[in-house]
Amino acid sequence: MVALGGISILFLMLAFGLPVAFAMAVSGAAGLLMIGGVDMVMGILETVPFSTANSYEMITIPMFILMAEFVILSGVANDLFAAAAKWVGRVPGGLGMATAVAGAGFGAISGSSTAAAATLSSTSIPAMLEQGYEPKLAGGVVAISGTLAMLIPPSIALVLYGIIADVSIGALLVGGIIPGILVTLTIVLTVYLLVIQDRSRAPAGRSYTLREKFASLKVCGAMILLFSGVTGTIYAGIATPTEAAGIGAFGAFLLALRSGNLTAGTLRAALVRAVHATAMILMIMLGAHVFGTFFTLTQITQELVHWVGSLDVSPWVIMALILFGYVLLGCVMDQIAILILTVPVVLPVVLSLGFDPVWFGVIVVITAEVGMVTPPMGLNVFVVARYTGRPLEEIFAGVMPHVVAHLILIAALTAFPQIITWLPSTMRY
Amino acid sequence: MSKTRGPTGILDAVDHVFSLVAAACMMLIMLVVVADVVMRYFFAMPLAWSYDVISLYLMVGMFFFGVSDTLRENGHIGIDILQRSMPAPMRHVGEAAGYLLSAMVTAAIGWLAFQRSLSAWQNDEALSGAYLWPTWIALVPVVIGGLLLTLRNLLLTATHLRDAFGGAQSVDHAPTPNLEERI
Amino acid sequence: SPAMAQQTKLRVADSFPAGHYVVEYGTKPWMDEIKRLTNGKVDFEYYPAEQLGKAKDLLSLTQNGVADIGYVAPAFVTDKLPLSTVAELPEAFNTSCAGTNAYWQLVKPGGILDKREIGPAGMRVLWTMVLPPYQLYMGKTGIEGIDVVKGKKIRTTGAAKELAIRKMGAVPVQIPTPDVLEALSRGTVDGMLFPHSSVLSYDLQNTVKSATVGENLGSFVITYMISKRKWDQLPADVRDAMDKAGETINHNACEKTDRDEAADIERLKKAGVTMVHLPDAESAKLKDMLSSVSKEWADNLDKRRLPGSEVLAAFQQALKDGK
Ligand code: NA
Ligand code: NA
Repeated sequence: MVALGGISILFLMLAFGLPVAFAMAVSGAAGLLMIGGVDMVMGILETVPFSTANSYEMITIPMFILMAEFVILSGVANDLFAAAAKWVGRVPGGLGMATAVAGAGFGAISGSSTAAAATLSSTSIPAMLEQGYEPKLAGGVVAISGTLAMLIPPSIALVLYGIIADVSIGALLVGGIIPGILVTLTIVLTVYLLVIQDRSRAPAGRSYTLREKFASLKVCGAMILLFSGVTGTIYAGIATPTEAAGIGAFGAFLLALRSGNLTAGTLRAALVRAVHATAMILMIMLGAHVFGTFFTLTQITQELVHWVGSLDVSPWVIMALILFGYVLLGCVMDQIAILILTVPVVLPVVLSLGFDPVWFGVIVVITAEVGMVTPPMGLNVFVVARYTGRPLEEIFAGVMPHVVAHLILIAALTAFPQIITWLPSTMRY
Repeated sequence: MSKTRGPTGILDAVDHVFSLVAAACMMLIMLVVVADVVMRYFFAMPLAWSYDVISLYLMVGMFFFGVSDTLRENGHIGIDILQRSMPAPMRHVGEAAGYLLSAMVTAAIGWLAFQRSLSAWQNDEALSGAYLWPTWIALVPVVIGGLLLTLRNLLLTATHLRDAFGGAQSVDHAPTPNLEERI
Repeated sequence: SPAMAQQTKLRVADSFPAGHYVVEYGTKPWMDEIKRLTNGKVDFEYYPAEQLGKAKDLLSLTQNGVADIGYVAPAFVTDKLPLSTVAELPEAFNTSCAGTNAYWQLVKPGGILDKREIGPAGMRVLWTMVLPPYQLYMGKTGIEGIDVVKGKKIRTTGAAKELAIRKMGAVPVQIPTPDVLEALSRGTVDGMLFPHSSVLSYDLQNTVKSATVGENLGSFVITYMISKRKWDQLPADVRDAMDKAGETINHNACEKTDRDEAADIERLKKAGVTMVHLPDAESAKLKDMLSSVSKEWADNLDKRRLPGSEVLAAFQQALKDGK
């Protein structure tokens, strides 16, 4: 009964559009009031806020966010698409494929999906439209390619999952590499099938000499350096994820400095933007801790685990239902909020069914990718629409084939979990 | 930054100043982490203070000095699908009630942190690591962040009440997050 | 029914994962013992694994009634309970029971820590365990003498153990426990201070080369506390049961832990770790190096007008009395 009261307040506040963080803090406080009176509310509000921020391992999140800001400032990402286009531009749908490759490259040095979508919007969409690409196809491939940044390390989403689930952040980040490559190939293949189906969607582009092709690789130097500085050192066991995040931010800072784009003004703006993004995440975590304590005291999670354990169904059926639930949630909710809100409740069930926590983290992030581009709340589609001035419906329609392809890939990765768990298992300690 | 006058303008300015302090904390975290790694790998002399300074002061400062400015920027995400189909007065009343409740929670957070900080100061409390770290200082950002959030929540309550009953629907206060700041 | 009306429900909170030996040897047997002694009059809601809050917040959460009984490690709340870390100093004991029995004399009702620090914080210790003293582990070298650590980076936690590392001429490094495996293998640290049992539970036995046996380089204190406010609300027979159960658990939990320690040393040997009993001369040299750690700890507290020296003397006396 008490649990129902707290959850009702949460949903009511969410329905009125209040920030998720405050909706959780208020409904959690109300629930605690019902369970243990004023003393209990005060007891939690006294400890949780400070405790949420007072954490060393948490710096991985602001440092990855800051790294993304400096990468944008450095302009390195702008040349990625041009380089990719020179290599695959002549293949049918080549520029679309180049967009996916550039999205993967951007994702390898930045954990921000929306930043990736914004950067790709400004570079690859004009090029595709100029060559006569169908706008729907162009917008769709940019929106989906942007989501790669949250899967390929560095990934803020995977770090967040690691902190909430208490799972090795290093293993999670390394676990994102192979699925990241597979998702990239899936996007490339989807573009290819779309173009084969109707050649007019993507007129062939010009070809480049081998010399031009190799010259274009110059921009990749900085990218590869930054990628190996972060993910490479984590994989090789040279740096812990917190160290790697700090070093990554600093490396991107040096790139921004070299580019000449770094002034007192742009530095300040980048820092303040990173502060806002960090504060947004930490505030949701604060609210989730308040709500989570209330939820724990109602003992619903324990009963849920117990109930699921007593069901006479295959774990695979339950996992399918869980993943289906994530795809549905992804339609209407923000990916970060979904992670923070659901993982504490769902993970105990997942573990009790015998699934691997690293595998589950990566799978959840891939379903979150899908959520970034499904209507009505599809953040990456919003970004592409804003940057290109094209209608939302057009881009949602254009991204639909990619959503279907993603769902097939998720099914494959669920059937063969070792595709995800293999690389982390080879990490050198 | 918008150039609003009156209480809103003052609060905006204060939030902005603290967001710059938070930005400085962010920069310092990066520099301290790098310095620590360099000192450890190349000089076998890790900074004995980096762990405590970052977790106790810089992280707490970065979050609580920046959290109210984030609310000013509509940077805290919400779900606006249902809300868009509600009649405007109903939506504004609901939001006003929500922000008022939020103000109560954030006021409690700020007040409890103030009491804790005061007693830590009076009792000379300090965490012992390589050095003694006074805990009352670590709680100051929580006090300030709680206070600013409360004022901001009250301001939002007033704005929504005005819009619900005043008829002036010029501004849309629904959360429209800054897309560029999202991850 | 009247029997139901008398049922007391208590929330117990800690931060240990399922199956942890502290829980198996202490927390669960303690709850069972209370149930037995009160004929089921007391019922527990147990929240392990930081479900109600982080380890460093459990003192606050127990003080203000979110939990009724909480795991409090003084090392995590040195701002609130600085004196209570006294048993973490490298003093003259080398088993869990020796440390636990002496420490109990200080924290039990009427003991000096109860009077000077824990009582004034509104708390009461129900039972306690001082872990077997930490030993020196080296990642890639042997330990012929104590000089092998000079200039080396040694991972440790807690102020007293950090000071001990410095006294030995080494560099203390703070790294979260889950990262120790990586740090040792890539040489970020050269060694660590660790209890033998944790080496096995964190699967580090293949990453370390050698370890000392029987030394005391500092320890770690575990207590379970109740707030006085809650205590005063409990019926007299429940309080009696808690006093009795506390004595039993203090005794049993450390004994089981010490027995495991001996078995752990054998398992570590089998795993190829060189377990070193330092020669008498080296052992004496180490004790000499560390002798000033306790004094410095006490002096620093005295300077803050806290009875550091008094508490240290009481602990040393209790250790002597126990022999
Ligand atoms: Na990424
Ligand atoms: Na969506």
